[in-house]
Amino acid sequence: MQESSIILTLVTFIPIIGGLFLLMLPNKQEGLIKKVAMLVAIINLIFCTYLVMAFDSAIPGMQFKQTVSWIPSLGINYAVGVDGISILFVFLTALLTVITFLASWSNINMRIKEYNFWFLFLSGSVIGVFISLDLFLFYLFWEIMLVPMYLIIGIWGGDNRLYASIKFFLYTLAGSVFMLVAIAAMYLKTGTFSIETLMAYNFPVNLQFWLFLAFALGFSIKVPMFPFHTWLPDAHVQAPTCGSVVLAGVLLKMGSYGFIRFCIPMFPDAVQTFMPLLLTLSVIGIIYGALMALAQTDLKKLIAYSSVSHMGFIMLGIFSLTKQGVAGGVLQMFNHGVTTGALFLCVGLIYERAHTKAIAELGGFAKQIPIYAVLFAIFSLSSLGLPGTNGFVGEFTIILGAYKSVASRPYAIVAMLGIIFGAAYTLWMYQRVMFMELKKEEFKKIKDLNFREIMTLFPFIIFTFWIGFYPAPFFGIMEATINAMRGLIS
Amino acid sequence: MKMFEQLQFSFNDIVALLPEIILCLVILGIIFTDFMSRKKDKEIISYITQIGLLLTMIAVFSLIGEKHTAYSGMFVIDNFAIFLKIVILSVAVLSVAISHKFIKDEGYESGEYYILLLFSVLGMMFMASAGDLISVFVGLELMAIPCYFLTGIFKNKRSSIEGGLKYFLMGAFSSAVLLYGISFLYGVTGTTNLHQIALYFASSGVNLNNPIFYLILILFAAGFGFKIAAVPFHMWCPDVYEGAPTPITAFMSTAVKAASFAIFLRVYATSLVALHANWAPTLAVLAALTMSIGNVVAVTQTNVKRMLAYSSIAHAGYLMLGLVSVNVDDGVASVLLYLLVYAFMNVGPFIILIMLKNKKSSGEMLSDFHGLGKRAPALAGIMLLFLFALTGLPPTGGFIAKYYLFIAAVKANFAWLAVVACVNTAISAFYYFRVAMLMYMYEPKIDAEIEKPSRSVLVALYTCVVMTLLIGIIPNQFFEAARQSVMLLAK
Repeated sequence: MQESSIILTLVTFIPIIGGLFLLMLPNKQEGLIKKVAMLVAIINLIFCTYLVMAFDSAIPGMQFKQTVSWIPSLGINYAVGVDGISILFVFLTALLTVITFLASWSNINMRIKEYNFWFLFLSGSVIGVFISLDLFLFYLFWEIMLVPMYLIIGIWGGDNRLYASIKFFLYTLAGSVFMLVAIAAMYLKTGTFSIETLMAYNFPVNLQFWLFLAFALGFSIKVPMFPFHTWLPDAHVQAPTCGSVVLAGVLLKMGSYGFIRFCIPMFPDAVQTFMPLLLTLSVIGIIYGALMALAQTDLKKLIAYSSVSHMGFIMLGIFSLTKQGVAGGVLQMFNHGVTTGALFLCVGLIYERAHTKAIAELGGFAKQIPIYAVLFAIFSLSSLGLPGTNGFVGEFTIILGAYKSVASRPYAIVAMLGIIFGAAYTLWMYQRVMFMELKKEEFKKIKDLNFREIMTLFPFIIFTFWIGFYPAPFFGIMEATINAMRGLIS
Repeated sequence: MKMFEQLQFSFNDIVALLPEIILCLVILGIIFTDFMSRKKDKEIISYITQIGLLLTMIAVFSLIGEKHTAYSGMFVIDNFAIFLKIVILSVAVLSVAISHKFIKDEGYESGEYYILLLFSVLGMMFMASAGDLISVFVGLELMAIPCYFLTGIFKNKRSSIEGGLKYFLMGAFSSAVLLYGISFLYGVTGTTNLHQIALYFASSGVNLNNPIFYLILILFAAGFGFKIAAVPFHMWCPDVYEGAPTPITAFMSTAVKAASFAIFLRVYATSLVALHANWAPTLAVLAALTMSIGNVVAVTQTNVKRMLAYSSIAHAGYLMLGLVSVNVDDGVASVLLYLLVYAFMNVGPFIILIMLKNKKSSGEMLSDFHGLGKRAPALAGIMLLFLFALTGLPPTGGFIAKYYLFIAAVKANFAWLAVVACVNTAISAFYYFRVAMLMYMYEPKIDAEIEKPSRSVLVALYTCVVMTLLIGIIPNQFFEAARQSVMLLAK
């Protein structure tokens, strides 16, 4: 384990500085801009891959730490580090950035320079959230991340993008400002912003109560947990394809990551008190999300609601407060990023060809574009949790963990209904979109996926089957950290 | 007479007043130049003013570390006064830099504008260094009266005259109320010197719940509250800010607030700190109301200048968070830091408003911002930065300063007020980001090109941008400066 490692700073700031460099290139040279952006993203991915390979799974604490004194008067440091949980999402972010640049190569046509800049900036700030070991730094990255997402939805999005973007922005901001007061209170109580110290600190129970509420509000909006989920369908539907991929793939994970990193270790008594409520909300999220997905007529909105349902599963696993539940939750977070990211890419691909997302107008594409049909099928089956795919491993581990703890057992049983609903909406969606008849004449001319498009989905296929058949390495990375985590009951 | 026996005069007093003396000489120089110069050569006055203000700022910097009173305690020189003088002078330089072309286009190019502005700055400097209630009052009037004139300087514009008259009438009334409160305080304590008053309250045998003190606190709150446009004394603010020339609005919304908070803090943190339990809860409620009303009404505005006026009311509310926390270590420092950041992040948008002004539009309406991202991408990017700072988002100084205010408020057991401020931050995000939305997500409505701005305006704009980012990314030096700006004789 290194003493002070710059790799995490590199991984966060390469996209940001690369983006700033991008701004200096002339507007007209669109090809050059796209290539430079792609290069920056690939370099970042290479560093992240190295990070994963060099990570020592046996050590439960933070690795690759770096601490630089930033604002000594307030005791704020630039402190970064990764452990078994955050490293997965650092990697996921870097991977999704590369894939989204590849995917948006041909479908973003206006203001390409700014698009690539904001995407790189978003990528850097999200990685910053996952690696921060200083509470103030965490909050800073958390807030910064809002603006690129707001602009991406608002400028390159769909018809109703203005409403969706400002709703997303204000909703998330309102949730996170309360965290700021909680952070101030925590600093005044403990005299430090260091997350590692705070994770081991024993806060008095009544203080824990308020601090937990403040943090939980901000995180539940991000997850999103019922009833704070209403921004999600609008944001996803109106965002451009790659915006949705990153939104679903990484941004939602920040909420559940927040619960794992802050709420459970730092406020264990408050979590115990609120556990029934949180489990109820998770299960409601599962069932409600699934039922809403069943009722949708817009393909993208259907997948957005399926996200709500899946995040409900993840929260169920996390709030079961068992090692298996949390491990399943973390793995499912990664899986959801992979699977739902892939699904949104698939929606984008069909949209580019058919120019509609309404399910009623789609149908019968399986014969026309077989490669796409197979890939779409793989991801749909992963979404509903077919054994052999990554979705199954995550869901099964979550249910196992939730069942293990007596407190969460009834919730696990109800959640299994959600699995059935999940199968219902996914299979029905696939049938309506891919089988049956072609609805319009011009659809007969639709071409199948080209090489670039297959390449965007290829990494997802690898992960789907790798985790599906051999999840041991993934569980191995997070095992030591979860075993050492405070606040779990078994 | 006893009073004259107590008066002392020494060379140290002159050194302490060096910046003010330099400023007076500059004013005299400008009066002379104005008299001697022809109608069309008035631009030189603008440059002399800027240079004079910079010289004054250098003189202020040279006094850092001094800690004594002058003129028998009427004038105080300490780091608190120096910090605020630097803020005030910076705002003054920025305002003068952006003034020339603006008033020339309106046809009001004259020397009086600069002379009045400098007198106002002189008054503000006395306010920052006030050690006695009389100095407070004299400085207040010296600051305020030129501002009344400057608001109404565009004699042909109805909104300007209306603003000037409103400001004058209400300002005179509130000064009278303040004087009434001062007279009661003198009657009770027997002295107008702030330090002596603090000693009086610290001495035993004083009944802190004497009703006269409540009366005094109410009168003071009304008098000071008017100047910072706190609710319910804020009604003059939008009309005055909208009617005044834009550089003057920038000047008033930042420098006048800074100086007014200077005296508010000095009086409340030195003399009246013993009564903290009496005045803090009420002021906390007023702070909450100020923030909320400022933000909620700003949402409905279509005139950007008026929207910025209401937003400055809201920022006064945030500043009051630090005011109610003066009994803890970080209370005063947090207000100072916020005033510093506020100076730059508030003047910035006004500079952009001035740059947007052209023959087809006044540059003040929301419609002027439509599609600015396409018309002038660099300008839109800079405006976006100022919007971040005003909302309180990282990585700008606005976030750092707001966070520091929250720490002070939570330390002083006003956590509920910090929560109210958080909710208000979210509300303010709406109208600030509405401007961003218009800039980036709408098509331009106005066809006119943005005129190339003069060098002074560009330098002023870049200064604001650099300071806003600098305080956000490398805040430590500024934190230290604020924390070491302790008030002489404070708790």
